Amino acid sequence: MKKLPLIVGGILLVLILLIMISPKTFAPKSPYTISRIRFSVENGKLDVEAAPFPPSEGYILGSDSLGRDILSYIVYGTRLTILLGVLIAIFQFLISIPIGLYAGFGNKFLKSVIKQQSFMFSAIPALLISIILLRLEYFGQLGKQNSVLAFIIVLTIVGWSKIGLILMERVEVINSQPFIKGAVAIGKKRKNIALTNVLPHLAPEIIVLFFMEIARNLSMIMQLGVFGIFVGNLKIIKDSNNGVLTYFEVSFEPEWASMLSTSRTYISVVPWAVLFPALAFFISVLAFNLFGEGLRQLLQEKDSTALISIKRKLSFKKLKKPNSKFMIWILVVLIVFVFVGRLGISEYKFKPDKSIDLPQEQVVIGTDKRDEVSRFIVDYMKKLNIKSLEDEDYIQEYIIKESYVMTEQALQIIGDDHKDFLEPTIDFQILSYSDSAFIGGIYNALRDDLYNITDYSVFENKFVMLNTKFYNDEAINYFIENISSQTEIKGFLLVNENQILKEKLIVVKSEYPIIRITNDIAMKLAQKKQLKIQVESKAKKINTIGKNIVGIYPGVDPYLREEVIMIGMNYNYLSEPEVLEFNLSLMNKLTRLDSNKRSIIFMFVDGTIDEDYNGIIDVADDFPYSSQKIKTYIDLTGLECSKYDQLEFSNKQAPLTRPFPWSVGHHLDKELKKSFEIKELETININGEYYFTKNESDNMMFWDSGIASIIISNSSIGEGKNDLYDIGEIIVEVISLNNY
Amino acid sequence: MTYSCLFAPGFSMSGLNSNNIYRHIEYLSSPELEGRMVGTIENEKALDYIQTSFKKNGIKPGNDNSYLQSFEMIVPNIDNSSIFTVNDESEQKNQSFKMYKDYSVITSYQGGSVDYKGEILLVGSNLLRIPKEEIQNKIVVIVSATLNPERIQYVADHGGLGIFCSVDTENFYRDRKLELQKNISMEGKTGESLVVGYVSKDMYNTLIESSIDYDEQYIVGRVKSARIKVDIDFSIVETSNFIAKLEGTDKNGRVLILSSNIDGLGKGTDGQYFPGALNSTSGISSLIEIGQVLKEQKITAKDTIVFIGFNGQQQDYAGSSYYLNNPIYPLELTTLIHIESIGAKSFEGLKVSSDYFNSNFLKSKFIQYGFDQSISLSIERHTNSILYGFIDESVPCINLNDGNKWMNSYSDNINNVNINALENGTKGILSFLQREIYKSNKIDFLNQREIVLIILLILVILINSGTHYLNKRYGNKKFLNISYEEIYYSLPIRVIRSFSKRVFPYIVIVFMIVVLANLSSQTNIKKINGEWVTNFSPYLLFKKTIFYLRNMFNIEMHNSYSIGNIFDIIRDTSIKSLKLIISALILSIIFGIGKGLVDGMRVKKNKVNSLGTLVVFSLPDVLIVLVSLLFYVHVAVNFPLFNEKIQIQKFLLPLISLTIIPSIYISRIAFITTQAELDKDYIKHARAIGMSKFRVFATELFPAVLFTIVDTLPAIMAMLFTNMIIVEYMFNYNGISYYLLYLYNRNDAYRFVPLALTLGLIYILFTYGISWIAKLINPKKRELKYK
Repeated sequence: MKKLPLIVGGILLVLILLIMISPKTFAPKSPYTISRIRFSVENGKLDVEAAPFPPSEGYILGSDSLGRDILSYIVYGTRLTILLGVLIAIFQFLISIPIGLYAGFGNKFLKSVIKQQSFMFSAIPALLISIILLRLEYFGQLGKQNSVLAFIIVLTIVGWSKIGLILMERVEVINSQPFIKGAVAIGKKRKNIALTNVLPHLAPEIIVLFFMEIARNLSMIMQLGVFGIFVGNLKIIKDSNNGVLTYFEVSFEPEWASMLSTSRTYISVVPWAVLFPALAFFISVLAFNLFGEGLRQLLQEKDSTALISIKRKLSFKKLKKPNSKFMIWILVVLIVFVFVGRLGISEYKFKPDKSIDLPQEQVVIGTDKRDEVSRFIVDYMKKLNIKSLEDEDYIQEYIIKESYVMTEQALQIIGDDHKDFLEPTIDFQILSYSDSAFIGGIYNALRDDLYNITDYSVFENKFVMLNTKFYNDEAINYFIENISSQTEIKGFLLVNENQILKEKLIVVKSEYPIIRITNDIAMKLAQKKQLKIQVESKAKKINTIGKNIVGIYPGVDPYLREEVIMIGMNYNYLSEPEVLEFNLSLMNKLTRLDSNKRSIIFMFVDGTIDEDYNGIIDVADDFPYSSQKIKTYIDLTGLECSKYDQLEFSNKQAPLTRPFPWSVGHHLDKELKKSFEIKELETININGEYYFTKNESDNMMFWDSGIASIIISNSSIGEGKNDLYDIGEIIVEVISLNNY
Repeated sequence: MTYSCLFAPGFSMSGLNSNNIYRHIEYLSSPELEGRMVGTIENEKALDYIQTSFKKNGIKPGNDNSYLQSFEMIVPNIDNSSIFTVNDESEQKNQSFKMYKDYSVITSYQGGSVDYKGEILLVGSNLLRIPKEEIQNKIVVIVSATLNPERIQYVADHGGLGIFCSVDTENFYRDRKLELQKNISMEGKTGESLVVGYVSKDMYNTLIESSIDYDEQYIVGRVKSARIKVDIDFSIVETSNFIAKLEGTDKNGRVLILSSNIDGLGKGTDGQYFPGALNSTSGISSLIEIGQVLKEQKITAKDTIVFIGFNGQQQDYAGSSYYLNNPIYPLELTTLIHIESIGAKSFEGLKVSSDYFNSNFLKSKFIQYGFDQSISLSIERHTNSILYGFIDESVPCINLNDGNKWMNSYSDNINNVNINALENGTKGILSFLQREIYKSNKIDFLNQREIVLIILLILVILINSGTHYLNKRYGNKKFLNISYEEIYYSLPIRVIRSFSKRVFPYIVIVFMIVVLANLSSQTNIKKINGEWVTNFSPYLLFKKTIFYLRNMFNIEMHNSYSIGNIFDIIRDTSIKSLKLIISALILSIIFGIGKGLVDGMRVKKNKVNSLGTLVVFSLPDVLIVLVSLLFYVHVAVNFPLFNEKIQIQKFLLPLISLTIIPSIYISRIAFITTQAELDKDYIKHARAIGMSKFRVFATELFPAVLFTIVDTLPAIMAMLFTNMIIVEYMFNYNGISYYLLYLYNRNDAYRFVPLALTLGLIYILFTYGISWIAKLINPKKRELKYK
C-alpha cells in the first residue's frame, strides 16, 4: 500500500506518455477539424445545430465554438502542454542546480541573488510578472516554436529561484555533516567534493523536486491560460475596419491552456469547453505529484536500494554493478518525455504512379495532344472511382475565342542601308497576329494626346507606336479601334518600360499585327524617322474549345459529404509531363486515404499556359456544383515545374471568417514553411479582402464565386533542388488531418 | 560609452527657424508661381527654387550628380475658359455658370472634352431607370451621394455626351465644397470621352428653375437650350522629381526618405490660381529647413537621409509611382516619411497615418519620440493613398498631415499657415531623426541630484564588493598600516554593508516595478525586409523610468480624472483584498487545524491514505474557481431570488475558492505534526500521569501544532497571494490585483506603481508580522534570538 502513489502516478504518467506518442489512437477526431454546423437526424427530422456542441454522441466532451472536438483537442494537446511543463522544469533545474550548489558552498553574491529573487517574486507574485511580460505584443505574435521558447525563458526566470533556495539550504545542511568535513580534512578540492559527495546526496531530492516542479509549472501554465496567455497564441485580426483592430484570440496548436482563456466570459454558456481541459490539467498535475511523492517515499525508506544506487550512479565513480534498473527507468522516462515531441512517422508519403503514361510533346489547349491527354485523365479518374458530377460529363467544355498557336514570327527594322532582325520574346512579342507580311514606316505617337486626335492622316500606312504606360487596357483598345477605324494603318507597336515581355504562345488574329516591343527598341525607332519595319508571322489555328476535367471523390460521412474540398491542377505542359504525373499521383494518393469525410473535387484546368485562356475563368463563372458547398479551393495550377527552388504560397484568401478553409490554409502555411523557402504571393487589400497582383486568375475563385482559396505555385526560374512530392506529402497530410 | 552618453556633442534643434519655412511657403504659393501645375514654367521655377535652397544649405544631389530625376507623364489640362450657359429663349436671358464655383469637371473615369449645344436632362436620382433614347446625345444631371463609375458608364453606354452630379449633401453629410475642387487625376480613364463633373446644389436648383417641367416618369426636368464647352487636352510632358541626400555613416545602405509633393493644381478661372500653400508647399518648405538644421549638426547620421520632392503628384501620384518603378535607392532598405501638409493649426496636432502591417513600428516610434518632446501628435486611422504604392512594395512608411480643410481650393493660401504648427510638426520630424537616424540618445535629462545618487549607488556597490574581495584574498596585507580585514570590519564599511543588504533589495524591487509599469504592452520585434525592427526604445524606457522616479513622491501626478484620488484607490482596493485574504487565512487556519488535529487524534498510526491527500492537494486553484463559478451560475439561474439577496459571488464564493487550498495544506501539516507529536515522550508522559484527552490536546498538542503552522505561514501566504490574483480576476472582485491588471492594460504607470508597491508592502508586512508572531508565541525562537 505504501507504494500506491508511485504506482498510480506511474500508471497515469505512462498513459500520458502513450497519448503523447500517438495521439491519433486516442482521439476520435482530428483536432484541426473545424465544423461550425452539424446535422443530426432525430425522429426522421433533420436537425441543424451550430457549434459549440454540448457533450453528446459525436462529441464525447463537446466542442468549442469553432466546432473542434474537445476530447481530440485535449488528446492532441497533451504533447505540447506536458512537454512545456517538463522543458521549463529542466531549464529551471539547469540554472538552479549550479547556482544553488555555489551558493550552498558559501558564495555570498549568488546567495543574495537567490534570496532577493525569491523574495521579489513572492512580494510581487510571479504570476503577475509573468502575465505582464507574456502579454507584450511581441510574445503574442510568435509562432509555435518561438512561443515555446518565450514561455520557457520567462517562466524559468520567474521560477528558478525557489528551487535554488531549497537546493541551497540542502547543500548547506549536507555541508555541515561530518563526512564532508572529513573530505575537506583529507584535502579534497571543493569542486570534487561538490561533484562526488554533495551532488549524489542531493540527487534523490532533485529527482523528487523535479517531478513536483513539473506539476507546479503545469499549474502556472494553467493560471496563465485563464488570462489568455498560451503557447502559439494567434492574435488574429478579426476586423480591421477604419484601422481599428479587433483581435480574435485562438490557438491553432492543440494545447490545453488556450481552452481556458474563454473561461471568464463563456463559462455559463460552454462549461464543458473549460471544465474538461481544467480536469486534464488536474489529472496530469496529480500524476506528477503522485509520482514525485511516491519516489520520495521509496527513497526515504532506510533500506532503499534505489537511493544507494542513485548515489552511486551520480558519484562519478566507475560503477561496479551493471546498470541499475531504477536508473534506467528514470532516464528512459525523462528522455522519452523530451523527445516524444519530435516523433512523427509519416504515412502521407507517396511516389509517382508507374502506370501513368503521358506523351512527351507539348500539350496545349486546343490541340489534339490535349484531347488525348484529357481522355487519359478521364480514364484514370474512372479507375480511381472518381465520379463525374451529377448529370455532367467529366469534361467541361468552354469556348475560347478564335486563337492560333504561333509557328513563325519575324520582325525586322529596315534602315537605309541595313536590316536588323529582332529576337522574339526578348525584343518583341506579337499579341495579335495577321497572316500576310506588313511593311511600313513608323508614326511615333508616344507623346500625342490620343484623346483629342485632330488629324488622322498622320497614321496612314504606318505602324503606330503607343506608350501604354499612361493608359489602361481599355483606353488602349479604344485608341486602337478608333485609329484603325478612321484610317488605314499597318499595325501597332506598344511600348511600356515597366512591363517585362513574356513568352506568348497563343495569339488572336486581327487585320493588322499588334506587337509589344521593349523600351530600348522603341527608343531606337523613335530616334530615326526614316526607319521602316517589317513583320511576318505564321500561326496554326487551334480548336476553340477548352476542356476542364472535373471529377468528385465522394466522402464517407453521410452529412459532411455534401461539403467539398476542391483541388485545381493543370494538365497543359510545354515539354515535361512530370507535373501532370505528379498531379495524377496526388489524386491517386488522396483517394486512397481511408477516412475522407468531405468529398474531394479534382479539377484539371485547361489553358493554364496563357492567362487569357485559363479554364479557371470558366469555372469561376459557371460551375455545376454549388459554390456554397465548396468549402475550400486549393489551387495547384501554378505548379509548373517539377524541380524548383522557391515556392509561392498564400492563404490570404482563406480568411478566419471561414474557419474550415482558414484552418486548412494556416495548417498548410505552417507545414510548408517548415521545409521550403516560401515566398508570399503579393497582394493588395481591397475593402478588407485580399487581391493577388501576380495573376488575375488566382483571384477568380474567391472574388467571382466567393470560394475561399489557397494558392500554391512555383516558378521556373533557376535549377531547382526541391521535389514536387514533398509538397504532395504536406498537402495529403493537411487534407487528411482536416478531413477525418 | 559613458562619455558619449553624457558629454559628447549631441543633436541640436536650435538651428530651427520656422520663419524660414514660412518664407519658403510664401514664395512657393505666391502668384508668381501660379499654382505650380506640372509641365508649366512655374513648376520648373519651383523646382529651381528648391534646388537652389538645398544647394545653398550644402546638401548634395541625390541622383548621382543631379538633383533631378526626370520622367514623362500625361497631364490633363483643363482649359480655364470653359463655358456652361443656359439660355432661356422666352426671356432672351443667358445664365452662365463659373467653373470651380458652380460646377467642376473631372478627368478621371471617362471625363474629357465636350462642345455641346442642346438639351440638359435633369433626372434626379433615377438615372438607371432612364431609357436609352432619352440619354442619347444628351447631357444629364443627377442627384447622388457620389459620382460613381457605374453611373458614368451607364451614360456612356447609352450614347450620352456627359453627366454632372449634384451631391445630395443634406442626406449624406458631406462637405459639398469637396466636389467643386479641381481634379486632374486620370484614374480609371478609358478611351471614350464625355464630360463628367459636379454641379453645386445652388446651380442644380437654378437648372431646375430654368427647366420645363414635363411631368414625365423619372425625369425631373429638361433645360431646353444649354451650351457646354469644356476643353481638356491630355498632353504628355517631361518633368522631374527633386532628389537630394545627406550621406550617413553606416555602410549598410539604409535610407530614410523624407518626401513631399511639389506640384499644385495650377490656374483656375478668372485669373485665379490654386496656391496650395499647405498642400503641398508646406511639406517641401519644411524639408528645406530640416536640411538646413541637419547640415549644421556636429554629428553625422547613421542612415542616409534622402529628401525627395515628388512632382506630378496631382495626377495619380505620377512622381512617386515613377520613383517606385525606378528607385534610386534600394526599396528594401528604404523607410519613408511623407509630409503631406504641415502648419495648419488644429486641435489634434500633426496626424500620423500608416498601414498596419509594415509601418506600425515606424508610426509607433515616431509618436513615442514626438510625445517625448511634447509634440502635439495624433493617430489618423485611414491610410493616405499616397502611401499605397510604398505599402505594396513593403516599404515602411508614414504620412504626416495637419488636417487642411482648404485643400484644393483657392483659399489654401499663406494666410492659413500657422508658425507654431509649423514648428510643432518640424520638431516632431526632427526628434524622430535625432533618436532613430542620428541615434543621439544622450542622457541629458538627469538632474544633479540624480547623478549624485547614481554615483553614490555605484560607489556603495564598488566599496562592498571591493572590500569583500580584498579581505578574502589578502586579508592580512596592509594598506596604510591597516589590514584589509580591519577595513572590512570597520564601522563605516559595516554600516555601508548593512545598508546595502537591507535597502538594496527594496530599491531593486521598486526600480523593477517602475520599469515594468513603463514598459509598453505594444512592445514588439518583427522581421521586416530581412531586418529585425522594434518599436522598443531603451532610451525612452529609461527616460520614462527616471521621470517617474523623479515624480514618484509628487502625489498630484498620481491622481487621475478617470480613476480618482490615488489614496482612495489604494485604500479601497487594499481593504477589499485584505478582507478577502485575512478572512481566508483565518478560516483556513481554523478549519485546517481543526480537521488536522481531529484526524491526527483519531487515526491511530500513520496509515492514512496519502493518495487521497495528494489528490486534494493537486487540485489546481483554477479548477476550484471554475467549479465555484459554475456553482454560482447554477444558483443564479435556479434561485434568482436567493442569489439577489445573498449575492454569493460578491464575497462568499471568492472567499470559499480562496480558502479551500490553504485549508487542505494546513490540515495536512496539522495532521502530520499531530501524529509526530503523539509519538513523543512528553505526550506519552502526560497521558501516563492521567491527563485527560482534552487537556493533553489543549495544553500540549495544540501549541505544538500551532507553532508548525505559523512556521509554514509564509509559504501559505505566497500561495494565497497567487490564488488571489485568479480569484479576483475571475469573480471581478475589485481588489488590488484586479486593479493592477486593469491599470497595466491601460498603460497607466502612475497608478500601477503605487498599487504594486502596496501589494508588495502588504506581503512584506505579513511575513514580518508572522515571524514576529512566531517569536512571540514560540519560546524556542525567542531563545534562539538570545543565543
